[in-house]
Amino acid sequence: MGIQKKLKVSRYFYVGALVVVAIGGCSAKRQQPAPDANAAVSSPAAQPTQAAEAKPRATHVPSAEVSSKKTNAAILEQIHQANLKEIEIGKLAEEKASTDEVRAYAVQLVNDHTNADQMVAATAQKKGTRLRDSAAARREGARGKAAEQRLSSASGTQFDRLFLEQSSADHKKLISELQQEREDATDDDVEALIDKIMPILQQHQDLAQILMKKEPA
Amino acid sequence: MTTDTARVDSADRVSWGSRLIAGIADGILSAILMMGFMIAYSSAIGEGATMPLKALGALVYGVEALVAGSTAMLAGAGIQLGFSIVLGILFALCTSRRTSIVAEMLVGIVVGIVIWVAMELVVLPYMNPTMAARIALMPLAYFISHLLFGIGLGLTPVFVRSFSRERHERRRVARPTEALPT
Repeated sequence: MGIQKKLKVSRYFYVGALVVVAIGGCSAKRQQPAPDANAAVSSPAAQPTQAAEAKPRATHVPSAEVSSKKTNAAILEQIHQANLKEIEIGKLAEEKASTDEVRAYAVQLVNDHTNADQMVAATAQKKGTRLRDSAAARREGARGKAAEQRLSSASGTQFDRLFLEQSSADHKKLISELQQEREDATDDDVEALIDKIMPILQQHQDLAQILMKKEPA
Repeated sequence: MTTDTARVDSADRVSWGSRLIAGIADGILSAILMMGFMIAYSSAIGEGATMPLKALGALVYGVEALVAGSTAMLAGAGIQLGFSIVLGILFALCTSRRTSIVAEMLVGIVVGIVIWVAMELVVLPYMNPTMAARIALMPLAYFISHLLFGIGLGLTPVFVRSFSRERHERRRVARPTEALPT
């Protein structure tokens, strides 16, 4: 009787273990195409950007407008630059925001875009693409510089509104561009990267709009 | 012989109160195991330690949970604890002093996997897209957290035995023949 019971328990154990291993295997396989979050952490965004600073690059520079077909390198570069910009204005807003909610949004923006940039850096490294740092991009982007100056000179609720408008506009533009590029992308890793960051960008845009409605006119 | 078996069964019986307390304790432990792992992982990958609670809180607050601060986190903690305690009590109600921990743990893991599947297929895409976007950044950790939750549920017999021991001992002292059949 005792032996039979032990055998029964062992049988349950082996069947259960098989189910767990099978499902665990499926889950691990599903996340293979995309760069793992751990991998993103282990390859900081700064690494490729520093290398790019030392040696001028001959690859395609992304234009502000949506190009019909961008290379994978250009798509990665575009996301990277957007991340750097949002991190920069997010950090500014962390210091200057006048309400807790706007400050919380700024913190979220910095965290998410830092993580997204680590994923971009990991993908770029995998593809052998070099990314430029923010200083190199800023030399070319006069429009971005003007927007930053406007934000720097504003304060209080005026700053909050400007920051939220800027963030909302940036995300709207980036989302529409990435939607197009997701269709054109030829690389699985780049597609997976866009799929991962797109919902996060959408959340940022939604939050910016919700907070703008809450702001006093 | 029948009388002896009946006496042993009577000694093994666990009161509803003991089961309830055991279920609550086990639910809290399961919630801590699951949420503790998610918080540690989320913090390690730079998503922030509070993200799992905020993401759960989005079930109530929507995307605003990400900036709602402590209220959203409290809502998230409440959802996690409430659900875990309910499952802990259900497990405790189906558990006796004699239930094997290995068997219960297997059932717990299967339940954890069923919950994970239900979350992936129904809850996240249709009820909490904010959380879905965050979970997409850590899918394997999310699966492992459900296994840990199942393991926590599998520890129900330990709590049932522990919380009913006092009563069990009392019965043995009062009527030794009931607890120790000849």
